[in-house]
Amino acid sequence: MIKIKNSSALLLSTALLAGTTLFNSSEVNAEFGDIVINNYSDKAGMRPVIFPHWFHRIRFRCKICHSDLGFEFKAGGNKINMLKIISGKYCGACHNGKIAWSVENCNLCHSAKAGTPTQVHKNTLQTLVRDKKQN
Amino acid sequence: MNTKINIILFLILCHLSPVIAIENPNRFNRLFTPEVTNPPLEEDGIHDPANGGIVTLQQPESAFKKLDKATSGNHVNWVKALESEKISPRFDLNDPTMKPMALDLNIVREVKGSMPNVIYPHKQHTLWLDCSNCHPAIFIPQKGANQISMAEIIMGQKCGVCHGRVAFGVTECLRCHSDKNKEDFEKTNLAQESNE
Amino acid sequence: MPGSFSLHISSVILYLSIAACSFQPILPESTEANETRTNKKENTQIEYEPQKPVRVEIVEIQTMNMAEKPAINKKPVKNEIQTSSDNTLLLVEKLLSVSSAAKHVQSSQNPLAKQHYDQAKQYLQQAHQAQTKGDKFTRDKTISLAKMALFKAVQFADKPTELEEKQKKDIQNRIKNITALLDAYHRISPNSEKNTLFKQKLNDVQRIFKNKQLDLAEKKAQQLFVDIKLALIDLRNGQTLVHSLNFANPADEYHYEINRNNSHKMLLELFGNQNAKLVSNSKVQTHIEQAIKLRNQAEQSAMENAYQQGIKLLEKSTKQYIRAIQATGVYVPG
Repeated sequence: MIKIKNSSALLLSTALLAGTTLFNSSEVNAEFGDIVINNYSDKAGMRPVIFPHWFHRIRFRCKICHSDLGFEFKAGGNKINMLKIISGKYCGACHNGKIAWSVENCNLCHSAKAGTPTQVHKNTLQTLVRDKKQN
Repeated sequence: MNTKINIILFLILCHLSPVIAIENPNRFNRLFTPEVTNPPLEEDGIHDPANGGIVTLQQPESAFKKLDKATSGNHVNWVKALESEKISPRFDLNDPTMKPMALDLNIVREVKGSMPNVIYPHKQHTLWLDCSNCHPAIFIPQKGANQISMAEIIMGQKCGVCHGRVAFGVTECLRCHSDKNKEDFEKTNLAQESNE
Repeated sequence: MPGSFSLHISSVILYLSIAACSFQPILPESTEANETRTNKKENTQIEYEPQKPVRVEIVEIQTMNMAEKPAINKKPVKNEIQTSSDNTLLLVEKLLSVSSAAKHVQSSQNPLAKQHYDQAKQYLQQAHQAQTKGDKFTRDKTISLAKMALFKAVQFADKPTELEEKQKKDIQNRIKNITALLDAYHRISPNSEKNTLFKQKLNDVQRIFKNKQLDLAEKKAQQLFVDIKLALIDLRNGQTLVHSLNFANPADEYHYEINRNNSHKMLLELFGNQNAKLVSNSKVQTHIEQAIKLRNQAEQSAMENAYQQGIKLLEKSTKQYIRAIQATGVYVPG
C-alpha cells in the first residue's frame, strides 16, 4: 500500500484544489436579465447593485414594477438612490420590512464586484459583441 | 492509517475528475462550446464572492429545479411556468389574490419570404404586463403604425425592448414566427386582391 | 489484513464511480420547432380590415451604448468596504455620511428630522465603541438602531423634489397611455356613448393635474385608465386581426427591404458568431460577398430612384444572406 506522510498528502490535495480553481474561466456568466446598476455606487465607494429579474419574476408580474411603481425599461435610467428608497419609492415600495426584507440589509443589494458597469446582463447586443471579441 | 489514505485518495480523485473527464467525440453540436447554465452566484462573474451577504441570496439553480426548461436565457420556459401554475406571481402589489385582466387578441403580421408569419398574442403578454407598458411608448395601438423588423429587435427596439433583454431572445425563432397557415393566408390574400 | 484489503478495493470502486459521475454528457438541445401559438380554434372572428396603409416614419436605428461596454470592468476600484469581510460598520458610516438620504436630512430645516439624525450619529458612536471593546452583539444592535433612526429622520424631512417630479412624470405618462387607448377605442367604435364620457373624465384629470393636486390626479387617472382598459377588453376579446403587407409606394417597400436585409445580416452575425470556423468557411464567404455586391447595386438603383429594381436586387441579396446562414448549419426556411 502507498505510504504517504499526512502533511505532504494534505499539501498535494490542496495544490490540486488550487489547480482546479484555475480551470474556472473569468467569463461573466450571470443569469440572463440580471441588471447591474452603477450610477452612483463607485463614486460612493459601495459595491454596485445587482437586481435579479428571475427572482422577482417568480413573485411579481412585470406590471407591478413597470406600471404601478413607475420603473422605466432602462438599466440605470431610474436614477434610484437611497433617499428615494427610504421614502418608499422604487425598491422601497416593497423592501420596507412588510412585503419584503427591509432596506437595512445593505449587502443583499450592493453585491456586485467593484467597478462592474451598468448593464443588462446577456442582452442580445452584449452577446453579439462578446462573441465577436472571442472570435 | 487506512482511513487517512482513503480520505487522501478521495480528495485526489475528486479534484482530478474534471481534468480526466473524457470529452464525448460524438456529442451533439460538437463545434459549439457548451455553455455553463445557471452557475452559482459565487461563480457568475458579477457577484462579489467576498461579500458577506452572498450566503443569504438564493441560488438560481434551486429556484429553477421544478420549472419547465427552455433553450436560452435563464433556460426556463416562463410562459409554461405561469400556465402550469408552478409559479404564481402577484398581479397587484397589495392584493395577492387579484386575477389578471388579460386581453385575448391576436395580431398576425405578414412577413415577406418563407418564414412563417408572426402571431403576436396579447393574452400571454397581458398576463404579465399592463397596456401602459407598451402603449403608446413602444407600440402605437393602430394597424400599420408600427414598423418592426428583426434589425430593430436585435438592436433593442420595439419587441427587442424586452425580448433579448429579460424575455426569450431572438434565437427561438418559431416562438414568434408561429403561423402554420401561411400558404392559406397567401391564397386568401390573392383571392381578395383579384376580387377588388 | 484481508479485511482491510477488501475495504480498500470497495473504496477504490466507490471513488471510480464518483469520478464517473463527474463526466458530464452534453445533452442535445430540444427543438421547439413543433411549438406554435395559434388560437384560431378559440377565436370567433377573423377580421380583414380595409387596406388603408399608414405612412410610417422610418426610424433610424442607433447603436446602443450597452453593446460597447464589456461586462467586467478591467480596472476595478477596491476600497475598505469591498475588501474587509466584516464591513457592517463601514456600511452604516457610508449611509450616515455620503448617501443621498443623509445629505437630504442634513440640509433639512425640520427639527424632528435633525433630532433623529443626531440620534443616529450617537448610535453610530456607540457602535464604534462596542467594536473596539470586541462586543459584537451591542455593535450589531446599535448599528440597526442607527439605521432605523436615519429612516425616521427621512420621514420627517420635507418631501424631496425628485419624488415630486417623479410623481408628475408618472401622471403625465398615465395621461399619454389614456389618450392612446382612447384614440384606439374611438377608432374601433366611434358611435359609442362611452367616448364622450371618457373624454370628459380625461379633461377632469388634466384640470386637476394643472391645479397641482397630484395625489388626486394620480388616483383619478388610474381609475380612468382601468375603465378604458376594461372597455377595450370587452370590445376586442377573442379576436384575431391580420396585418398584411401593403405598401403605399415603392419607396416604402424599398425601405422595408433594406430593413429586412439588415436583419438577415445581423442574424448571420448572431448565429455565425458562435463559431468563427463556421463563418470563415468558403461557402459562407461567397454568399456574403454576393449579398454585399447585390446590396450595393440596389442602393445605386435607389439613388437613381429606380425603386422597383432596387427592391428586386435587395430580395436577391437577402436570399444570399439566408443561404449563408443555412451554410453555417442553422436552419432557416427560404
